[in-house]
Amino acid sequence: MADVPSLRFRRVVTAAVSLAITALLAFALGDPGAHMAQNLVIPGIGLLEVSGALAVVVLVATTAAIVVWVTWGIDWLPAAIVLCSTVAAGLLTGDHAAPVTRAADELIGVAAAHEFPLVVLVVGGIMWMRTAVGRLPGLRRLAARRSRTVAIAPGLDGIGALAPLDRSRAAAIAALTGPVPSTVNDAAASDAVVTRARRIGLFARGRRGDPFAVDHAAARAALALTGQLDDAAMARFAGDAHAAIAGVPASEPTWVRPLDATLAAIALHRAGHGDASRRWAAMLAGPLALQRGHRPGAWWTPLGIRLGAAPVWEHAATSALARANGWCDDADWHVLRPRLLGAAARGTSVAADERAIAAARLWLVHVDDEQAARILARPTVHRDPIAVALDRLADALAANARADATTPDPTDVHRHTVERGDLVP
Amino acid sequence: MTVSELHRPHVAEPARPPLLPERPRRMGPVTRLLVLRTVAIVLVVQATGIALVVGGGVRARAAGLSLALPGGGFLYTAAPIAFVLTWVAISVALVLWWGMSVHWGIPLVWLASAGLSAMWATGPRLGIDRGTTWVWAMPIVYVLAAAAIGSLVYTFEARFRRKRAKIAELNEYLATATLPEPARPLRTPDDMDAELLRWAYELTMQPVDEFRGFEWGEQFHGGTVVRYQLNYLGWALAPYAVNYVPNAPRQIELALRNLVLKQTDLRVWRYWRTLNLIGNLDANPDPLVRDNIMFSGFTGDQINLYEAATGSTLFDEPGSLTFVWEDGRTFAYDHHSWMEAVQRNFDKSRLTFFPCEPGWAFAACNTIGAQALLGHDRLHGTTMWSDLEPRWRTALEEEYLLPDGNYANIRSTHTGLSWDTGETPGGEYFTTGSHGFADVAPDLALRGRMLQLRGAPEKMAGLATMVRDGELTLELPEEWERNRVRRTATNAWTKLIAGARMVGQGELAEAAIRAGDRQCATGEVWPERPLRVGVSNLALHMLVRWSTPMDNASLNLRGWVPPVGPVLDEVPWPEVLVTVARSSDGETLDLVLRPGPTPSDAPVRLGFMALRPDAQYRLLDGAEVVAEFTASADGTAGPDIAVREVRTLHLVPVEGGAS
Repeated sequence: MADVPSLRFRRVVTAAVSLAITALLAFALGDPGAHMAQNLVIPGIGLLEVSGALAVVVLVATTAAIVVWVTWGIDWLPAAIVLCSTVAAGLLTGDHAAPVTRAADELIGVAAAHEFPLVVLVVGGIMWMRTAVGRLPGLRRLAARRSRTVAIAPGLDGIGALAPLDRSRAAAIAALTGPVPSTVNDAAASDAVVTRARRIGLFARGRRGDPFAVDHAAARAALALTGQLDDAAMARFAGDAHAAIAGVPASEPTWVRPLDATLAAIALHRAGHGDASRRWAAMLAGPLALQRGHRPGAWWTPLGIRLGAAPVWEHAATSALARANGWCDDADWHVLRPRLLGAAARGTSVAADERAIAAARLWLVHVDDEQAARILARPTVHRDPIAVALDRLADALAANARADATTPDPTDVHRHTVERGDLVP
Repeated sequence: MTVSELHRPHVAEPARPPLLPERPRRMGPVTRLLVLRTVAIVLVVQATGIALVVGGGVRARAAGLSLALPGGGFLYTAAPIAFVLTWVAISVALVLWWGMSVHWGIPLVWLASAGLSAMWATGPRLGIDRGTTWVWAMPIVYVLAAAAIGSLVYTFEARFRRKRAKIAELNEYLATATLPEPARPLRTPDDMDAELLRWAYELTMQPVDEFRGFEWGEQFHGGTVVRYQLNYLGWALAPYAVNYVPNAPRQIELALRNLVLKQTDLRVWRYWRTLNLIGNLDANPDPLVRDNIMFSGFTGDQINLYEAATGSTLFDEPGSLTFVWEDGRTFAYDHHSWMEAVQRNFDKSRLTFFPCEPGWAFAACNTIGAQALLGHDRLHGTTMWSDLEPRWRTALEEEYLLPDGNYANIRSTHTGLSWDTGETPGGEYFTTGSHGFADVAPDLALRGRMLQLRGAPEKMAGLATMVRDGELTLELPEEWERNRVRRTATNAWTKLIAGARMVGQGELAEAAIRAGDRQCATGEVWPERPLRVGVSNLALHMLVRWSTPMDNASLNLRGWVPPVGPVLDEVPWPEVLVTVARSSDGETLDLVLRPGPTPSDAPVRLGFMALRPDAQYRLLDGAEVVAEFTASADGTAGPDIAVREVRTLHLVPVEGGAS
């Protein structure tokens, strides 16, 4: 097993520094410092005395910036808002100008080191609340309805209708089965995918030039698996993986998303870079391991913090792909099984359910579960491109597995109509 | 004589039916107990009300009057609008009691009216001084309460006496009358039969999780309930399998199988969780473990008929019928455990009959549940039905039988009350279940049929005189379907066809089939319907149309009998539709093949089996030899045939050929 990065020391130090700075602000700088400390905990609250509207604006802006950060990795944006609003809280409240100025100087000195854990805490809380609220019966329906439109896409032909990230994921998964149609190739290299990568590189890190030089695990995996990465690009892909803390490139700057990372690891493994897959397997067994039945939705590389729980379909697809490559055992199946059967019961009208069903079929190649096989055979996966790609991969792997099998298929209905076993004559 | 007819079960129909009890009881022992309990509760409520009215102040009097008559206290407290609203709420609660098993609705409104009228006793009034009371309302409330109870008692007693007065005349009729033998022709399917079959195949052979062409709406009671559409289609295709294509089971087996599998789709059975929660205060979604005989009994019967018609034991496999709730909980059943669940429900019910919707036990559904147990016994040699039969007959004859030979449609298992729900004329019927008691109680079937058909032979004979050269120049009036989506004449034609067959008017029935087709045909194909009628009623029409010579009661009694003679095993679908595959002598095979929904110009492979090993066969279209081939050592052969139009073929062994 490859070494897994231990970021505990870094987390402890960061937490200690953060607490120390917050305490310093709160206790050493009088009223302005207290406001600054408050503002670090909940951005905007430090400005309440100055202006309620300003406080709300800051809070809303921070929330939006956090969404942008979590989605595209633009981490400086929430950091800047928190920093500026905290400095403003110190400057605009109270009458201790000198200490405040000193405090501001200190803050600028430590840059974004300490507010991030607090923000991550907030993000984690938001994600947890979203997950919890999403489990409530009425709201679950609403959440499901939101993603229903995606399920209209007619199989892989509709891959172009997906968002760029999902387009890359669908293409990468489809390519795992073998040669793919031109629509899939085109989707993997489409302008939308390139533009997304370019914009993220530019806005998150000020990068110009090759948009796929760093990060973008899913897009680069799709390009690699569909044979659209030249040797130089492939070498950069491998190099990026080698340098990355998780053994594979991130999806967006500082964010490792398990599905994208798994696809990237498979692509690198197929290209002969076995080190990436070994390190990624160690990640799956270590920092991204199952905890209380879930794997994280994302992993923040600077401090190695798990963010939220992966959606069921992502968890299932990631773990099934990992299982197919021998990177994990069957533990995921046991925790996922009821959720996946529930998806099968709900049917394919929601894209997330359709993907979950297809991912479950991928799992069935590796586990002997007759009841689940019967249940999962019922829904027809034919709408969402990612689901269709997963389903085809499951079919292909199952066909290979059947070629070696000697026991009869329990779902073979013809056997029953032919044998006509125990009926009374 | 055909092979199908030869396989009819040997069940001797009694020469004479049992007569009606001359001194019928007003209600059976269990029903009496339930009604007495209800009466006792009402008496306690009334006594409490009187105590409050006599001994209390204004508030207590208002509450007491509301206990005497829901909302009565509002009249006393000069709030007539609240009184009217209480009765609106009572009406809504009544509908919900019936429709959604809200048993606590009426008591809740009743008690709430008592509480609210007491609270309002000293409150403001609309246009009247605060605290005003109308003393005159007190006698009015009690008069209204007495009138309500009196009218209920009078209605019940008058109906009972009216029916009891007919007993002597009815028994005389039962003891002396004879009914003509029903017509059971072996039909050759016409173009509409083929259209209907093709529609049914396309509907059922779409992926199991897809429901194009079904009618969706509320899933509790109405005419858009999908589980019933699936039941009726299964019931319709089973007799087609045994009467028309016993020697080509492949296509119809898949159709029948898919109909059963669709029953396990969450969208079909999700309604039960809601009903169970409301009616039983039980959050368990398992659709078989408690009540719900309209699902367990109906579909159990459907599974039996599937096995009896096709010989498939697919659903005998453990877990082959697994329900999955939306959170992933599974409720695994198979044919056997399914029937055991039905049996357990019968066993634990004080009334023997157990509820469909919580608290409502229907005679029809419990008869279909009985059919289901009987069918399982026939197929698997169990004794579920024979163990239950005495109790079941007692419940039917003592609890549900009315003096004139009708059976009450519905009974509340909480109150013992029955009423006309509007589903059947008068809320009663002479026979029920999908087989009219023919399999579970042949003697009662005969009695019911005789009572039901009083005067019918004469009416049918009159109609038969209108048949000229096999044609009936008649159009029947359209009536609303139960789901009120459309008006249709198909239902009336279905009843006419069934009635004509029951009184032996086979020619009239065939003429009615053609006339009905002329009036109702749409010319449309799946996902639309070939006849202008909804899915449920179309399926029932197909059931009647195809239930000859073998009907489902006979099939349920007979069980599985393998086809005799050559079998057309493999037929490419959707290229080819097999509408006839019968062997009348065990040697030859009559086939009618039609182009399927996706016809092929190229010849298609027909896979025969059960041929004489190494024998030579000819496939004839009239006198023309379409194909000539030699069966393999295992009795199979696969000639290629073009099916660009209707092909009526005859497979015969060549005498003196290779063998």
